[in-house]
Amino acid sequence: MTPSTDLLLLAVIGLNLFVATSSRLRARIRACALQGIALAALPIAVDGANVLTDGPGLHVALAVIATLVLKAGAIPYALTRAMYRSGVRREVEPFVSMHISLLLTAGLVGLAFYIGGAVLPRLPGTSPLGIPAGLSTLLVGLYLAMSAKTALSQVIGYLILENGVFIIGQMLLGEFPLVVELGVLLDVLVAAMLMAVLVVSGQEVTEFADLEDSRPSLVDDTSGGAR
Amino acid sequence: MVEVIIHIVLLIFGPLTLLGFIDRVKSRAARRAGPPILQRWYDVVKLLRKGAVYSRTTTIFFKAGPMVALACTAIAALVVPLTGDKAPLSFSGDIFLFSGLLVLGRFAMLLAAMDTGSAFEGMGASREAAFGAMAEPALFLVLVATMPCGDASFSTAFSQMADTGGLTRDPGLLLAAIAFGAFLVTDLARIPIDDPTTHLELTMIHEVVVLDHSGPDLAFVTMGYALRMWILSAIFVHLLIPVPSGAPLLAVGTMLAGQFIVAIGVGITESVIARLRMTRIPQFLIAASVIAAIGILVQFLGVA
Repeated sequence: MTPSTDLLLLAVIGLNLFVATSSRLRARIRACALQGIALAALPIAVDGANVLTDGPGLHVALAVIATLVLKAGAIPYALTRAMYRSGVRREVEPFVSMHISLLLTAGLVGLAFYIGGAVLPRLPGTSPLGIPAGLSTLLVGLYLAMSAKTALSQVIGYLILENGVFIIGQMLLGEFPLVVELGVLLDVLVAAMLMAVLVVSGQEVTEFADLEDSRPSLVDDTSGGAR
Repeated sequence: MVEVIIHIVLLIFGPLTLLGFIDRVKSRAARRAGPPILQRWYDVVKLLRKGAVYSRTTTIFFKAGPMVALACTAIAALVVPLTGDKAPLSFSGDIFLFSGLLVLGRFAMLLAAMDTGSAFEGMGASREAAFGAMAEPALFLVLVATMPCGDASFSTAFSQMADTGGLTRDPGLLLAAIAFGAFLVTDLARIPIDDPTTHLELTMIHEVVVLDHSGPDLAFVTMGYALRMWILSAIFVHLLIPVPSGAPLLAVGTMLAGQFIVAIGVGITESVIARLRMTRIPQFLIAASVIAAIGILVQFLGVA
């Protein structure tokens, strides 16, 4: 166990908080991409750099590269494109105000620490932060998906939830079989792409990528953006 | 005894020089020659030799404000160890004296501001009080996070922090340092909370409070502010780079170097980013408290 693992996990938690407080979709997508980079670096931080060359090195290297390309590259790119094409740049008038959202997120992180630290047994040789960080990412992702008003925010929440699952898996199992790992990644990619496409086409049909008000409206959206 | 003398010498000569250094960093970042590093000293000496102008609406509160603020900060500065040894004034629970004195100093300044009867100063006082109150939880959560021992004293906590290895061993300390950084910019009214060079009363927070002071009073305000900045950034430096006790030279050297690095950081930050919208400040401060709280959780889990 190295301090860099703890720092990476803390960075993931920090990004969760950031996503919960920023209303700009582009910033949220970027934070998601950064989280993807942190996740890709996680196996290296846990086992040291020689994990890429020793034993089943190819497997780990493949998984790292696939995570990096998909979570920090392809998915954020697709979401950014969808954001520009749908013209919805920010979460306007969220259901929950940003202050309360931040406090709720902090509560979820605290809950995750309580469950991960006090209730679940800690596996020997893993970071004590692992399960709490994974759980909090999962819970925050769930919360974001639930409280989102725009379709894109919901996708971002889903992606963060998935990142949480990834961390928990990493911490509980050490490593997934390659097929499973790539399969999960592919699933996420397809889901994100599908949702990105749906956001855009849904917006083209209804003029709104807003979940609450998805019927055509005469009032122009004040969020601005190239339309 | 020598440590106490060094401590006091540092407190006398450090703060104003540090402020001048920040001014220099900011002017260099803007490609200007900038004032001499000792400019703040010249200003203070000049102001001390001037007479003060008092409005007829002001009372004793207005005159007492800057003096009380400076005195409070000076006593608070004796609690924070600067020389790697025990601070001149240290006892169990001195963190409460420290934060109480900081708040008392601010309270005196707010009373003085409201005593002028000016609407602008009243508005500034209300803002400063509100944001100061919101920053308080962050400070206390940071103090809790850095003081796992039963002895709530800076001197004990600092030496303990150094002996356990500081940041490299304890990621919770990193979070505490980040939250303390947020408290520091709020308490000192620097960007992104407040712009110390702003000229528009409507957007001022801290500057408007001291708008009516002149002569020696203004000199006291400047000295109090500089001293506050000195001790807060000394704590910040120590959170980031704890020095083991029993090495006074190393401790003083690290502290001084760290102070000036923090000053460079502050200067560059102020040159490149704008202040936050006033409505975003509470969110910034809540975030600081939340980060400090997570720091406590991390320590509670025993990551080490």
